[in-house]
Amino acid sequence: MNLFFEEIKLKNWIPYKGSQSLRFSPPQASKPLTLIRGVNKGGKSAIIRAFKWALYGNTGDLSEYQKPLELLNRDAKNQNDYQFSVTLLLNYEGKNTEITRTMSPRGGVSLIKNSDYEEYFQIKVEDTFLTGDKQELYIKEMLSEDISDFFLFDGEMLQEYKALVASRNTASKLKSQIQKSLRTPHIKSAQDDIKIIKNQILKQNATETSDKLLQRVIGRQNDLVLKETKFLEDKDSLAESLDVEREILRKVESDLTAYGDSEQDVVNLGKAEDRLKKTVKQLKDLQDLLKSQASNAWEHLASIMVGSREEALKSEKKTLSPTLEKNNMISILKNLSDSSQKHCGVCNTELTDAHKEYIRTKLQKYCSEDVSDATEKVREIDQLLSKVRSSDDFKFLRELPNKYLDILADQGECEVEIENLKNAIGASNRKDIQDLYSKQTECKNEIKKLTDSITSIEIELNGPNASQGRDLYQPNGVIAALKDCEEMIKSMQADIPGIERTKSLTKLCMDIDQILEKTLNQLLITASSEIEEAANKMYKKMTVEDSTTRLSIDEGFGLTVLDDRGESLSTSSTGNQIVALSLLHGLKVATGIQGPLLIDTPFGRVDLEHRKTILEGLATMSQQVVLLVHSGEIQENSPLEQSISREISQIHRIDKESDTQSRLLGS
Amino acid sequence: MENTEELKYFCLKLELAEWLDKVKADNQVTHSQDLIRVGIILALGCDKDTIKKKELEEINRASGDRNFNAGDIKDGQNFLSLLIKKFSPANPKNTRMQALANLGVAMIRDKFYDDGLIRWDKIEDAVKNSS
Repeated sequence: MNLFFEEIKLKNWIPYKGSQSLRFSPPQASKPLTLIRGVNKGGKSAIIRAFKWALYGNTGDLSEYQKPLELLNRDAKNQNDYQFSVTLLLNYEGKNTEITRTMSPRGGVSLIKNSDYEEYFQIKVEDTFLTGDKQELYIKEMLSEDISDFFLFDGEMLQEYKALVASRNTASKLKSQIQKSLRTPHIKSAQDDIKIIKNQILKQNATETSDKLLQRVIGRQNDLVLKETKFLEDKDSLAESLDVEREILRKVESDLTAYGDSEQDVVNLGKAEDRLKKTVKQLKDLQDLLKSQASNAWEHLASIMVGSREEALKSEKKTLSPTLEKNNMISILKNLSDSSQKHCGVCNTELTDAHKEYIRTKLQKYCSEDVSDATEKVREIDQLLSKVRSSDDFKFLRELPNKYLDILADQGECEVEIENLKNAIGASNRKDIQDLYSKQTECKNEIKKLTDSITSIEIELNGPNASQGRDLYQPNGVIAALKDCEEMIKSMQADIPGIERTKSLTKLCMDIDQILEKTLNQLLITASSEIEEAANKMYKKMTVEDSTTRLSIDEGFGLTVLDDRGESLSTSSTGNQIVALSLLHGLKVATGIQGPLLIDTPFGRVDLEHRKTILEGLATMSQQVVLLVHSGEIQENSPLEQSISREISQIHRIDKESDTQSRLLGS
Repeated sequence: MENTEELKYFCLKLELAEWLDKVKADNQVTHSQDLIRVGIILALGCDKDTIKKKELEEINRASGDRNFNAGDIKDGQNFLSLLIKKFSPANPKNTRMQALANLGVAMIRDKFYDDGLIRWDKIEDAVKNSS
């Protein structure tokens, strides 16, 4: 592959308002490096995104920069200039090529939405425009999207290399990408064809037999194969979705890390807001309780008041008791004085006129005293005394002020903390970080769901608790049931005429399959050793230490640093970066795929000591190495820049003019 | 025998009625009458001269003060009426509830209300010591 970039033209692309462009020097072995320097969040990554979008129609991001209005410069949008585009001018196999991707809203729409955009894609090779499928084929042949991550990438991503090869799913993705660069899929595809032929031969034989039992077993086998295929397809598709989710999660977490202290502040803000909600709820509960207790407080207080006057009331009642006796006497005398009464109701003595006269005189005397309301007074005193209680209904109300004020103080503290955190984070960062957190939660939930689904498919395939297959394969799973079927068919087919021919044909298929498998393995082994050798050369070049360590490659193309006794060593951030770059170099050498390298933030986590050696190493990896660096990585006129000045052909600058605009300045 | 039921409406000084509204808005009580009842009990601890003096004070709708339904203040068992009858001086005009309510609510506001909170502990102590 002979490819190099000549120029990139941007129009209203993310931070680049209007038309802006960058020219790249032609590739030179002696001066391969181009530096593009800009501040953080100033538009460096937007350049890589522009390359990817122009070539593949996506920016390579999974959670952002996917919709047209996310890619359009905000200021251009505010001025109703909705069109944006990226043009790449490059040289591929000696031919001048111009690739332009443009997004324009449809005419006649006033309020532009993402769905109103139409995409225009154009490839011009020399003076000829490519059309239809030829465009796709051309890009695939020039720099397939599958392997583009080895050429256009974020330096920070190199840190993820270890995690990438450690995770089963992402490792298989990486392996698949590497295998694509080694062109092994062609062999794989031949293997698949052979398997199909073998199954067709077996099927043909089965349809020719008249053995009903055999036909039934073959029928079952077919059902099982269908089930197996379905499960495997579902599993693959779920694994793919899982990869995507993990990739999004990784990106989200990396974006969160990029916010530094603000991320922690947002976590603390979330906690403070939760605490505030809790105190508000406590306060509300306390108020409800207070209100309900306050409505009965008067009764308790009344009880206390009566209680404190209990002795006085009892004594009043006592003074009323002779009066009550008099009242009783009046009632008896009234009864006796009644003319109809002939005998005393108590002693049954006959009542004479003299008796009655005496009773009337007595009655007159008693009635002259004011004793009429004594009974009512005693009843009232009894009613009052009946309310005296010894319960402690007031306990809560007594303790309330302190509790209430404590919670109120907590609430005040929370509010102040929230205010301070909000100020520290800034409104826009807060929203971004909160969005990232909700995305992170969504991803984690989705990953859990997908993992559970994959596990349940694996159980259906491998048992021992497969539950969906009933008589077909329960409980040991589809694969065990298929094996049983194959064994049965094998023993039943032994006596069928023509089976020998079928056997020899299927054996031939199996032999071819094995040869292909061997070839594939051999190819991978050879490639692995070539990758390992080239990677080790680069590793030595990039490490400053006079070390006896070396790299060892495993079957998943993971590289491990080994000491002189062959024991693996852990690596620092810088070490990880060097190992990943060494692997990239190894791949380029082993696959013969050469081309430009475009790396964003190559030294974000590399110590100063190694930057020079890595730069020197990069300078030998390609004849065109474009590095998007911030001033902290390679300072202007620094000894580091001067030490590699001979390898630098150009230095461009990105000027961040505002939060929404940056300008590309040529060298 | 005296009849406390005759009193159908009584007036609370506007400033006190407005203060009750605030306390209610601050979620300290559900109804204003919850505090008026407490005020009446507190006022029953005052000496009779103070109550009588309050009864002579002009508190009425015409002066801008707010009307309350006496029935809303009295409890179902007429216990509060009994307390009033028993522990306050008799008055032919039968305006004791109004006097007690104005005296008591003012006491709560002025003596038992700190930092926007009703100090129930102090109210309880005051009632205990009122005998």
